[in-house]
Amino acid sequence: MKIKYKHQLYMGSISDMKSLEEHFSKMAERGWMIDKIGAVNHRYRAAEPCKKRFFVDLLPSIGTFDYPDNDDAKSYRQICEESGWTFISANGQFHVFCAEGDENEITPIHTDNKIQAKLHIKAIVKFELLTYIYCLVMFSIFAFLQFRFTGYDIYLSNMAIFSLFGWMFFLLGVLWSLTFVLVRIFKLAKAAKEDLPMPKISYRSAKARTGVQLTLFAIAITFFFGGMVLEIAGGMSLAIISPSLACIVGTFVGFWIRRQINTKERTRKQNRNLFIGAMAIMVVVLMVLSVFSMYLIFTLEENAAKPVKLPVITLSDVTEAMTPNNTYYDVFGSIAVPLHYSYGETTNKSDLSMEVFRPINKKIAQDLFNHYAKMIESDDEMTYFHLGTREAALWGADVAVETAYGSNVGLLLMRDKTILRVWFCNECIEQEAVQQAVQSFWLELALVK
Amino acid sequence: MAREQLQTLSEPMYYILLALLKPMHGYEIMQTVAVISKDRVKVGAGTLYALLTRFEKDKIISHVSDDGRRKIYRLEDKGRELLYKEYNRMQESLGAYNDYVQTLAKEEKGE
Repeated sequence: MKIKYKHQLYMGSISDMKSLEEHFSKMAERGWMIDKIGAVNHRYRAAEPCKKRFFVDLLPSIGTFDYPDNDDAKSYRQICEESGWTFISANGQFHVFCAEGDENEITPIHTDNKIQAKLHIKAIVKFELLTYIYCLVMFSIFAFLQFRFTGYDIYLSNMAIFSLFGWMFFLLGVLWSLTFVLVRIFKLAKAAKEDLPMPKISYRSAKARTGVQLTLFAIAITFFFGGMVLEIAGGMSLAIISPSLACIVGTFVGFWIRRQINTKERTRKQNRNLFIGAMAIMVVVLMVLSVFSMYLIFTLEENAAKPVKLPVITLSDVTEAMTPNNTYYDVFGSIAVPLHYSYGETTNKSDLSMEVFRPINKKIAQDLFNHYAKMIESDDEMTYFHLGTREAALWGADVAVETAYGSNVGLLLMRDKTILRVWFCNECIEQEAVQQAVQSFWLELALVK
Repeated sequence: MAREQLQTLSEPMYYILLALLKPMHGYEIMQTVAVISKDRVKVGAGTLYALLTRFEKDKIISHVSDDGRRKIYRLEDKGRELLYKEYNRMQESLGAYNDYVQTLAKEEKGE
Protein backbone atom coordinates (compact mmCIF):
# COMPACT_ATOMS: atom_id res chain seq x y z
CA MET A 1 0.00 0.00 0.00
CA LYS A 2 1.26 3.43 -0.91
CA ILE A 3 2.22 5.61 2.06
CA LYS A 4 0.31 8.88 2.19
CA TYR A 5 2.27 11.99 3.04
CA LYS A 6 1.25 15.48 4.01
CA HIS A 7 3.55 18.53 3.86
CA GLN A 8 3.44 21.65 5.97
CA LEU A 9 5.41 24.77 5.24
CA TYR A 10 7.30 25.77 8.35
CA MET A 11 9.95 28.43 8.58
CA GLY A 12 9.96 28.93 12.32
CA SER A 13 13.11 29.86 14.14
CA ILE A 14 15.01 28.16 16.94
CA SER A 15 13.00 30.34 19.32
CA ASP A 16 9.80 28.61 18.16
CA MET A 17 10.98 25.01 18.19
CA LYS A 18 9.43 24.09 21.53
CA SER A 19 6.01 25.00 20.07
CA LEU A 20 6.46 22.08 17.67
CA GLU A 21 6.27 19.44 20.40
CA GLU A 22 2.60 20.14 21.09
CA HIS A 23 1.85 20.49 17.39
CA PHE A 24 3.44 17.13 16.53
CA SER A 25 1.39 15.51 19.33
CA LYS A 26 -1.85 16.98 17.98
CA MET A 27 -0.98 15.88 14.43
CA ALA A 28 -0.25 12.33 15.69
CA GLU A 29 -3.65 12.28 17.41
CA ARG A 30 -5.20 13.25 14.05
CA GLY A 31 -3.36 10.40 12.29
CA TRP A 32 -0.39 12.32 10.91
CA MET A 33 2.97 11.28 12.26
CA ILE A 34 5.92 13.64 11.77
CA ASP A 35 8.29 11.89 9.41
CA LYS A 36 10.89 14.39 8.28
CA ILE A 37 11.84 17.94 9.18
CA GLY A 38 13.51 20.22 6.67
CA ALA A 39 14.59 23.84 6.62
CA VAL A 40 11.22 25.06 5.30
CA ASN A 41 9.06 21.97 5.17
CA HIS A 42 7.75 19.31 7.56
CA ARG A 43 6.63 15.98 6.14
CA TYR A 44 3.96 13.91 7.94
CA ARG A 45 3.14 10.27 7.27
CA ALA A 46 -0.37 8.88 7.51
CA ALA A 47 -0.58 6.59 10.57
CA GLU A 48 -3.03 5.24 13.09
CA PRO A 49 -4.11 8.07 15.42
CA CYS A 50 -2.12 7.75 18.62
CA LYS A 51 -0.99 9.62 21.72
CA LYS A 52 2.70 10.39 21.58
CA ARG A 53 5.04 12.61 23.48
CA PHE A 54 7.52 14.61 21.37
CA PHE A 55 10.75 16.26 22.27
CA VAL A 56 12.48 18.76 20.01
CA ASP A 57 16.08 19.25 21.05
CA LEU A 58 19.20 21.01 19.90
CA LEU A 59 22.53 19.29 19.45
CA PRO A 60 24.92 22.23 19.89
CA SER A 61 28.01 20.45 18.62
CA ILE A 62 26.56 20.35 15.08
CA GLY A 63 27.82 23.47 13.33
CA THR A 64 26.95 24.99 9.96
CA PHE A 65 29.73 23.06 8.21
CA ASP A 66 29.20 19.70 9.92
CA TYR A 67 27.81 16.60 8.25
CA PRO A 68 24.48 16.20 10.10
CA ASP A 69 24.86 12.44 10.64
CA ASN A 70 28.41 12.61 11.98
CA ASP A 71 29.67 10.48 14.87
CA ASP A 72 28.66 13.10 17.42
CA ALA A 73 25.07 13.12 16.19
CA LYS A 74 24.96 9.30 16.03
CA SER A 75 26.32 9.00 19.53
CA TYR A 76 23.80 11.55 20.89
CA ARG A 77 20.86 9.85 19.14
CA GLN A 78 22.09 6.50 20.46
CA ILE A 79 21.93 7.71 24.08
CA CYS A 80 18.45 9.19 23.50
CA GLU A 81 17.21 5.97 21.90
CA GLU A 82 18.66 3.81 24.66
CA SER A 83 16.86 5.93 27.22
CA GLY A 84 13.51 5.18 25.53
CA TRP A 85 13.10 7.91 22.91
CA THR A 86 12.66 7.15 19.22
CA PHE A 87 14.63 9.33 16.85
CA ILE A 88 12.40 10.70 14.08
CA SER A 89 14.34 13.24 12.07
CA ALA A 90 16.97 15.95 12.26
CA ASN A 91 17.80 19.14 10.44
CA GLY A 92 21.15 20.61 11.48
CA GLN A 93 21.03 21.04 15.25
CA PHE A 94 17.25 20.38 15.37
CA HIS A 95 16.41 16.86 16.52
CA VAL A 96 12.92 15.39 16.89
CA PHE A 97 12.27 12.40 19.16
CA CYS A 98 9.07 10.75 20.27
CA ALA A 99 8.05 8.42 23.07
CA GLU A 100 4.87 6.68 24.16
CA GLY A 101 5.14 6.55 27.92
CA ASP A 102 4.74 9.41 30.38
CA GLU A 103 7.52 11.13 32.34
CA ASN A 104 7.55 8.45 35.06
CA GLU A 105 8.35 5.74 32.54
CA ILE A 106 10.76 7.59 30.29
CA THR A 107 13.16 10.25 31.53
CA PRO A 108 12.73 13.53 29.61
CA ILE A 109 15.58 14.34 27.24
CA HIS A 110 16.37 17.38 29.35
CA THR A 111 16.24 17.16 33.11
CA ASP A 112 18.04 20.44 33.79
CA ASN A 113 16.12 23.64 32.99
CA LYS A 114 19.24 25.80 33.19
CA ILE A 115 21.22 23.70 30.72
CA GLN A 116 18.30 23.52 28.28
CA ALA A 117 17.65 27.28 28.43
CA LYS A 118 21.35 28.05 27.99
CA LEU A 119 21.60 25.74 24.96
CA HIS A 120 18.71 27.62 23.39
CA ILE A 121 20.16 31.04 24.16
CA LYS A 122 23.50 30.00 22.66
CA ALA A 123 21.87 28.69 19.46
CA ILE A 124 19.59 31.74 19.11
CA VAL A 125 22.51 34.13 19.55
CA LYS A 126 24.72 32.18 17.13
CA PHE A 127 22.21 31.52 14.36
CA GLU A 128 19.62 34.29 14.68
CA LEU A 129 20.60 37.29 16.78
CA LEU A 130 23.94 37.85 15.01
CA THR A 131 22.31 37.36 11.58
CA TYR A 132 19.55 39.88 12.33
CA ILE A 133 22.00 42.42 13.75
CA TYR A 134 24.21 41.98 10.67
CA CYS A 135 21.18 42.41 8.35
CA LEU A 136 19.97 45.43 10.31
CA VAL A 137 23.34 47.14 10.00
CA MET A 138 23.79 46.24 6.32
CA PHE A 139 20.23 47.18 5.26
CA SER A 140 20.46 50.49 7.15
CA ILE A 141 23.77 51.25 5.43
CA PHE A 142 22.35 50.34 1.99
CA ALA A 143 19.20 52.43 2.52
CA PHE A 144 21.23 55.36 3.86
CA LEU A 145 23.81 55.21 1.06
CA GLN A 146 21.13 54.96 -1.57
CA PHE A 147 19.49 58.15 -0.38
CA ARG A 148 22.75 59.89 0.56
CA PHE A 149 24.32 59.51 -2.87
CA THR A 150 21.26 59.71 -5.06
CA GLY A 151 19.47 62.36 -3.03
CA TYR A 152 16.30 63.49 -4.75
CA ASP A 153 17.56 61.89 -7.97
CA ILE A 154 15.87 58.88 -6.42
CA TYR A 155 12.62 60.18 -7.95
CA LEU A 156 14.06 59.65 -11.40
CA SER A 157 14.42 55.89 -11.33
CA ASN A 158 11.72 53.31 -10.61
CA MET A 159 14.42 50.95 -9.45
CA ALA A 160 15.67 53.51 -6.91
CA ILE A 161 12.15 54.39 -5.67
CA PHE A 162 11.09 50.77 -5.37
CA SER A 163 14.31 49.55 -3.83
CA LEU A 164 14.12 52.28 -1.17
CA PHE A 165 10.69 50.92 -0.22
CA GLY A 166 12.17 47.42 -0.48
CA TRP A 167 14.92 48.28 2.03
CA MET A 168 12.28 49.80 4.35
CA PHE A 169 10.25 46.58 4.36
CA PHE A 170 13.38 44.47 4.81
CA LEU A 171 14.33 46.64 7.77
CA LEU A 172 10.82 46.30 9.22
CA GLY A 173 11.01 42.50 8.83
CA VAL A 174 14.41 42.38 10.50
CA LEU A 175 13.31 44.68 13.33
CA TRP A 176 10.21 42.55 13.86
CA SER A 177 12.28 39.37 14.13
CA LEU A 178 15.01 41.01 16.18
CA THR A 179 12.48 42.25 18.73
CA PHE A 180 11.02 38.78 19.10
CA VAL A 181 14.44 37.14 19.39
CA LEU A 182 15.51 39.63 22.08
CA VAL A 183 12.28 39.04 24.05
CA ARG A 184 12.84 35.28 23.75
CA ILE A 185 16.46 35.54 24.93
CA PHE A 186 15.31 37.62 27.89
CA LYS A 187 12.65 35.04 28.84
CA LEU A 188 15.13 32.17 28.45
CA ALA A 189 17.75 33.98 30.52
CA LYS A 190 15.14 34.49 33.24
CA ALA A 191 14.23 30.79 33.09
CA ALA A 192 17.91 29.82 33.31
CA LYS A 193 18.50 32.15 36.25
CA GLU A 194 15.45 31.07 38.23
CA ASP A 195 15.60 27.40 37.19
CA LEU A 196 12.15 27.56 35.59
CA PRO A 197 10.82 25.31 32.80
CA MET A 198 11.31 26.49 29.23
CA PRO A 199 8.99 29.44 28.47
CA LYS A 200 6.13 28.15 26.32
CA ILE A 201 5.13 29.47 22.94
CA SER A 202 2.09 28.32 21.00
CA TYR A 203 2.41 26.89 17.50
CA ARG A 204 -0.23 29.33 16.27
CA SER A 205 1.57 32.43 17.54
CA ALA A 206 4.88 31.09 16.19
CA LYS A 207 3.29 30.64 12.76
CA ALA A 208 1.62 34.06 12.89
CA ARG A 209 4.89 35.74 13.85
CA THR A 210 6.78 33.95 11.07
CA GLY A 211 3.92 34.82 8.68
CA VAL A 212 4.30 38.54 9.42
CA GLN A 213 8.07 38.29 9.00
CA LEU A 214 7.82 36.43 5.67
CA THR A 215 5.10 38.80 4.41
CA LEU A 216 7.34 41.81 5.11
CA PHE A 217 10.25 40.13 3.30
CA ALA A 218 7.97 39.11 0.41
CA ILE A 219 6.74 42.71 0.04
CA ALA A 220 10.36 43.90 0.06
CA ILE A 221 11.35 41.42 -2.67
CA THR A 222 8.24 42.35 -4.70
CA PHE A 223 9.31 46.00 -4.54
CA PHE A 224 12.81 45.14 -5.82
CA PHE A 225 11.52 43.03 -8.68
CA GLY A 226 8.64 45.45 -9.38
CA GLY A 227 11.11 48.30 -9.79
CA MET A 228 13.26 46.20 -12.07
CA VAL A 229 10.33 45.11 -14.24
CA LEU A 230 9.14 48.73 -14.56
CA GLU A 231 12.64 49.84 -15.58
CA ILE A 232 12.88 47.12 -18.22
CA ALA A 233 9.35 47.92 -19.45
CA GLY A 234 10.42 51.58 -19.66
CA GLY A 235 13.20 50.68 -22.07
CA MET A 236 16.13 50.04 -19.72
CA SER A 237 18.61 47.38 -20.84
CA LEU A 238 18.09 43.85 -19.52
CA ALA A 239 21.56 44.20 -18.06
CA ILE A 240 19.91 45.97 -15.11
CA ILE A 241 19.11 42.55 -13.68
CA SER A 242 22.80 41.80 -13.19
CA PRO A 243 22.94 43.00 -9.53
CA SER A 244 20.01 40.76 -8.60
CA LEU A 245 21.85 37.86 -10.25
CA ALA A 246 24.16 37.95 -7.23
CA CYS A 247 21.19 37.22 -4.93
CA ILE A 248 19.72 34.54 -7.19
CA VAL A 249 23.05 32.81 -7.86
CA GLY A 250 23.97 33.19 -4.17
CA THR A 251 20.73 31.48 -3.09
CA PHE A 252 21.28 28.58 -5.49
CA VAL A 253 24.91 28.18 -4.45
CA GLY A 254 23.78 28.26 -0.81
CA PHE A 255 21.26 25.46 -1.42
CA TRP A 256 23.85 23.47 -3.37
CA ILE A 257 26.42 23.76 -0.58
CA ARG A 258 23.79 22.80 2.02
CA ARG A 259 22.96 19.74 -0.06
CA GLN A 260 26.61 18.82 -0.41
CA ILE A 261 27.17 19.12 3.35
CA ASN A 262 24.02 17.12 4.15
CA THR A 263 24.51 14.27 1.70
CA LYS A 264 28.19 13.35 1.79
CA GLU A 265 30.25 12.76 4.89
CA ARG A 266 33.15 15.19 5.01
CA THR A 267 35.08 16.84 7.83
CA ARG A 268 34.17 20.35 9.00
CA LYS A 269 37.37 21.66 7.37
CA GLN A 270 36.58 20.02 4.03
CA ASN A 271 33.06 21.49 4.04
CA ARG A 272 34.41 24.93 4.93
CA ASN A 273 36.91 24.72 2.05
CA LEU A 274 34.08 23.67 -0.26
CA PHE A 275 32.12 26.74 0.82
CA ILE A 276 35.09 29.10 0.36
CA GLY A 277 35.82 27.58 -3.08
CA ALA A 278 32.20 27.90 -4.22
CA MET A 279 32.06 31.50 -2.98
CA ALA A 280 35.30 32.39 -4.77
CA ILE A 281 34.03 30.90 -8.05
CA MET A 282 30.70 32.72 -7.61
CA VAL A 283 32.41 36.07 -7.01
CA VAL A 284 34.59 35.64 -10.12
CA VAL A 285 31.58 34.63 -12.27
CA LEU A 286 29.52 37.57 -10.98
CA MET A 287 32.37 40.00 -11.61
CA VAL A 288 32.68 38.76 -15.20
CA LEU A 289 28.89 39.06 -15.61
CA SER A 290 28.91 42.58 -14.16
CA VAL A 291 31.66 43.73 -16.51
CA PHE A 292 29.83 42.14 -19.43
CA SER A 293 26.52 43.79 -18.46
CA MET A 294 28.25 47.19 -18.08
CA TYR A 295 29.68 46.69 -21.54
CA LEU A 296 26.17 45.91 -22.83
CA ILE A 297 24.64 48.96 -21.11
CA PHE A 298 27.20 51.41 -22.44
CA THR A 299 27.86 50.07 -25.91
CA LEU A 300 24.33 49.05 -26.89
CA GLU A 301 22.81 52.26 -25.61
CA GLU A 302 25.41 54.38 -27.34
CA ASN A 303 24.98 52.59 -30.62
CA ALA A 304 21.20 52.66 -30.59
CA ALA A 305 19.94 55.57 -32.66
CA LYS A 306 16.64 56.73 -31.20
CA PRO A 307 14.13 58.85 -33.10
CA VAL A 308 13.55 62.17 -31.31
CA LYS A 309 9.85 62.25 -30.46
CA LEU A 310 9.66 64.96 -27.79
CA PRO A 311 10.25 68.71 -28.19
CA VAL A 312 13.93 69.65 -27.99
CA ILE A 313 16.12 72.70 -28.46
CA THR A 314 18.69 72.18 -31.20
CA LEU A 315 21.79 74.12 -32.18
CA SER A 316 20.02 75.22 -35.35
CA ASP A 317 17.35 76.91 -33.16
CA VAL A 318 19.93 79.16 -31.50
CA THR A 319 22.65 79.73 -34.02
CA GLU A 320 23.39 79.39 -37.73
CA ALA A 321 22.53 75.96 -39.00
CA MET A 322 25.22 73.53 -37.98
CA THR A 323 25.43 69.84 -38.55
CA PRO A 324 26.18 68.24 -35.20
CA ASN A 325 29.02 65.74 -34.96
CA ASN A 326 27.25 63.93 -32.23
CA THR A 327 23.65 63.82 -31.03
CA TYR A 328 22.24 62.02 -28.05
CA TYR A 329 18.68 61.56 -26.94
CA ASP A 330 17.47 59.54 -23.98
CA VAL A 331 14.03 59.09 -22.51
CA PHE A 332 13.86 57.80 -18.93
CA GLY A 333 10.69 58.29 -16.90
CA SER A 334 9.61 56.89 -13.56
CA ILE A 335 6.39 56.72 -11.59
CA ALA A 336 7.36 59.93 -9.77
CA VAL A 337 8.75 61.75 -12.80
CA PRO A 338 6.86 60.33 -15.79
CA LEU A 339 8.34 62.80 -18.26
CA HIS A 340 12.13 62.86 -18.10
CA TYR A 341 14.38 63.08 -21.09
CA SER A 342 17.64 64.60 -22.24
CA TYR A 343 18.95 65.80 -25.55
CA GLY A 344 22.27 67.17 -26.68
CA GLU A 345 24.19 68.20 -29.78
CA THR A 346 27.89 68.90 -30.21
CA THR A 347 29.92 70.31 -33.06
CA ASN A 348 33.61 71.23 -33.27
CA LYS A 349 32.74 74.81 -32.35
CA SER A 350 29.81 74.55 -30.03
CA ASP A 351 27.53 72.40 -27.98
CA LEU A 352 24.11 72.55 -26.42
CA SER A 353 22.38 70.10 -24.15
CA MET A 354 19.19 70.00 -22.15
CA GLU A 355 17.30 67.84 -19.70
CA VAL A 356 13.58 68.00 -18.93
CA PHE A 357 11.76 66.76 -15.80
CA ARG A 358 8.03 66.85 -15.30
CA PRO A 359 7.11 65.11 -12.01
CA ILE A 360 3.63 64.12 -10.93
CA ASN A 361 3.32 67.06 -8.55
CA LYS A 362 4.76 70.41 -7.65
CA LYS A 363 6.26 69.10 -4.38
CA ILE A 364 8.56 66.67 -6.20
CA ALA A 365 9.41 69.38 -8.75
CA GLN A 366 10.38 71.71 -5.92
CA ASP A 367 12.47 68.98 -4.22
CA LEU A 368 14.30 68.25 -7.46
CA PHE A 369 14.85 71.94 -8.18
CA ASN A 370 16.26 72.51 -4.68
CA HIS A 371 18.43 69.41 -5.02
CA TYR A 372 20.02 70.63 -8.27
CA ALA A 373 20.33 74.19 -6.93
CA LYS A 374 22.22 72.80 -3.91
CA MET A 375 24.48 70.77 -6.19
CA ILE A 376 25.34 73.96 -8.08
CA GLU A 377 25.93 75.88 -4.85
CA SER A 378 28.23 73.20 -3.49
CA ASP A 379 30.42 73.18 -6.62
CA ASP A 380 33.36 75.49 -5.84
CA GLU A 381 34.43 75.74 -9.48
CA MET A 382 31.13 77.25 -10.62
CA THR A 383 29.77 80.72 -10.16
CA TYR A 384 26.03 80.93 -9.79
CA PHE A 385 23.23 83.52 -9.52
CA HIS A 386 19.69 83.04 -8.29
CA LEU A 387 17.80 85.07 -10.86
CA GLY A 388 15.04 87.43 -9.79
CA THR A 389 11.44 87.00 -10.94
CA ARG A 390 11.87 89.39 -13.86
CA GLU A 391 15.09 87.78 -15.07
CA ALA A 392 13.58 84.33 -14.65
CA ALA A 393 10.57 85.46 -16.69
CA LEU A 394 12.96 86.21 -19.57
CA TRP A 395 13.58 82.44 -19.61
CA GLY A 396 9.85 81.78 -19.32
CA ALA A 397 10.41 80.38 -15.81
CA ASP A 398 8.99 81.02 -12.34
CA VAL A 399 12.39 80.52 -10.69
CA ALA A 400 15.84 80.21 -12.21
CA VAL A 401 19.49 79.70 -11.30
CA GLU A 402 22.22 80.63 -13.75
CA THR A 403 25.67 79.08 -13.55
CA ALA A 404 28.90 79.79 -15.34
CA TYR A 405 31.95 77.61 -15.72
CA GLY A 406 34.56 78.92 -18.14
CA SER A 407 32.79 79.56 -21.41
CA ASN A 408 29.90 77.28 -20.49
CA VAL A 409 26.61 78.58 -19.22
CA GLY A 410 24.07 76.46 -17.40
CA LEU A 411 20.48 77.23 -16.53
CA LEU A 412 18.24 75.56 -14.02
CA LEU A 413 14.67 76.66 -14.71
CA MET A 414 11.34 75.74 -13.18
CA ARG A 415 7.98 76.62 -14.65
CA ASP A 416 4.90 75.35 -12.83
CA LYS A 417 5.93 71.73 -12.13
CA THR A 418 8.39 71.36 -14.99
CA ILE A 419 12.16 71.69 -14.65
CA LEU A 420 14.44 72.42 -17.55
CA ARG A 421 18.20 72.30 -17.39
CA VAL A 422 20.11 73.80 -20.32
CA TRP A 423 23.85 74.03 -20.94
CA PHE A 424 25.51 75.83 -23.82
CA CYS A 425 28.81 77.37 -24.85
CA ASN A 426 28.45 81.15 -24.80
CA GLU A 427 31.38 81.76 -27.17
CA CYS A 428 29.38 80.84 -30.25
CA ILE A 429 25.80 81.03 -29.02
CA GLU A 430 24.00 84.26 -28.10
CA GLN A 431 22.19 84.10 -24.79
CA GLU A 432 19.15 85.97 -26.25
CA ALA A 433 18.82 83.33 -28.95
CA VAL A 434 18.73 80.62 -26.29
CA GLN A 435 16.15 82.63 -24.31
CA GLN A 436 13.88 82.76 -27.35
CA ALA A 437 14.34 79.08 -28.05
CA VAL A 438 13.53 78.25 -24.41
CA GLN A 439 10.36 80.43 -24.53
CA SER A 440 9.15 78.55 -27.64
CA PHE A 441 10.20 75.27 -26.06
CA TRP A 442 7.90 75.81 -23.02
CA LEU A 443 4.95 76.28 -25.41
CA GLU A 444 5.77 73.13 -27.32
CA LEU A 445 6.27 71.17 -24.11
CA ALA A 446 2.89 72.31 -22.76
CA LEU A 447 1.29 70.30 -25.56
CA VAL A 448 2.99 67.08 -24.46
CA LYS A 449 0.72 65.02 -22.22
CA MET B 1 33.10 32.01 33.23
CA ALA B 2 32.59 28.29 32.55
CA ARG B 3 35.63 27.47 34.64
CA GLU B 4 34.34 29.59 37.48
CA GLN B 5 31.05 27.75 37.39
CA LEU B 6 32.84 24.45 37.57
CA GLN B 7 34.45 25.38 40.90
CA THR B 8 31.35 23.84 42.41
CA LEU B 9 29.50 21.05 40.69
CA SER B 10 25.77 20.70 40.36
CA GLU B 11 24.30 17.42 41.57
CA PRO B 12 23.99 15.87 38.07
CA MET B 13 27.56 16.99 37.26
CA TYR B 14 28.86 15.41 40.45
CA TYR B 15 27.12 12.09 39.86
CA ILE B 16 28.23 11.95 36.22
CA LEU B 17 31.87 12.46 37.23
CA LEU B 18 31.46 9.95 40.02
CA ALA B 19 30.05 7.38 37.59
CA LEU B 20 32.97 8.02 35.28
CA LEU B 21 35.50 6.74 37.83
CA LYS B 22 35.01 3.70 35.64
CA PRO B 23 35.09 4.34 31.84
CA MET B 24 31.64 3.86 30.35
CA HIS B 25 29.34 4.96 27.52
CA GLY B 26 26.53 7.51 27.68
CA TYR B 27 23.55 5.34 28.52
CA GLU B 28 25.60 3.41 31.07
CA ILE B 29 26.37 6.75 32.77
CA MET B 30 22.61 7.53 32.93
CA GLN B 31 21.90 4.15 34.51
CA THR B 32 24.84 4.35 36.92
CA VAL B 33 23.82 7.84 38.08
CA ALA B 34 20.32 6.52 38.83
CA VAL B 35 21.75 3.53 40.75
CA ILE B 36 24.35 5.39 42.83
CA SER B 37 21.89 8.19 43.68
CA LYS B 38 19.26 5.55 44.55
CA ASP B 39 16.99 6.90 41.79
CA ARG B 40 17.01 10.35 43.34
CA VAL B 41 18.92 11.95 40.45
CA LYS B 42 17.90 11.27 36.89
CA VAL B 43 19.83 12.73 34.01
CA GLY B 44 18.09 13.11 30.65
CA ALA B 45 19.98 12.12 27.51
CA GLY B 46 20.13 15.70 26.19
CA THR B 47 21.31 17.09 29.50
CA LEU B 48 23.91 14.33 29.78
CA TYR B 49 25.19 14.94 26.27
CA ALA B 50 25.41 18.71 26.85
CA LEU B 51 27.39 18.13 30.05
CA LEU B 52 29.67 15.51 28.50
CA THR B 53 30.41 17.91 25.60
CA ARG B 54 31.24 20.66 28.08
CA PHE B 55 33.41 18.38 30.24
CA GLU B 56 35.26 17.16 27.16
CA LYS B 57 35.85 20.74 26.00
CA ASP B 58 37.24 21.63 29.43
CA LYS B 59 39.43 18.46 29.35
CA ILE B 60 37.73 17.09 32.46
CA ILE B 61 36.88 13.90 30.59
CA SER B 62 37.87 12.40 27.26
CA HIS B 63 36.41 9.72 25.06
CA VAL B 64 38.69 6.78 24.74
CA SER B 65 37.17 4.59 22.08
CA ASP B 66 34.08 4.19 19.96
CA ASP B 67 32.18 1.06 20.77
CA GLY B 68 30.26 1.00 17.48
CA ARG B 69 28.08 4.11 17.68
CA ARG B 70 28.78 4.53 21.37
CA LYS B 71 31.54 6.71 22.73
CA ILE B 72 33.28 5.45 25.88
CA TYR B 73 34.13 8.29 28.24
CA ARG B 74 36.90 8.39 30.82
CA LEU B 75 37.66 10.76 33.68
CA GLU B 76 40.87 12.78 33.20
CA ASP B 77 43.17 13.92 36.03
CA LYS B 78 41.51 17.33 36.01
CA GLY B 79 38.13 15.68 36.44
CA ARG B 80 39.38 13.46 39.26
CA GLU B 81 40.75 16.54 41.01
CA LEU B 82 37.45 18.36 40.54
CA LEU B 83 35.52 15.38 41.91
CA TYR B 84 37.72 15.08 45.00
CA LYS B 85 37.51 18.82 45.59
CA GLU B 86 33.73 18.57 45.48
CA TYR B 87 33.81 15.54 47.77
CA ASN B 88 36.00 17.41 50.26
CA ARG B 89 33.78 20.48 50.05
CA MET B 90 30.73 18.35 50.83
CA GLN B 91 32.60 16.59 53.65
CA GLU B 92 33.55 19.96 55.10
CA SER B 93 29.95 21.14 54.82
CA LEU B 94 28.75 17.96 56.49
CA GLY B 95 31.44 18.26 59.22
CA ALA B 96 30.48 21.89 59.84
CA TYR B 97 26.84 20.85 60.12
CA ASN B 98 27.64 18.06 62.60
CA ASP B 99 29.94 20.25 64.70
CA TYR B 100 27.39 23.05 64.92
CA VAL B 101 24.45 20.77 65.69
CA GLN B 102 26.49 19.06 68.45
CA THR B 103 27.50 22.46 69.91
CA LEU B 104 23.84 23.55 69.96
CA ALA B 105 22.82 20.28 71.61
CA LYS B 106 25.48 20.74 74.31
CA GLU B 107 24.32 24.33 74.91
CA GLU B 108 20.74 23.12 75.34
CA LYS B 109 21.85 20.55 77.90
CA GLY B 110 23.73 23.36 79.69
CA GLU B 111 27.04 21.65 79.58
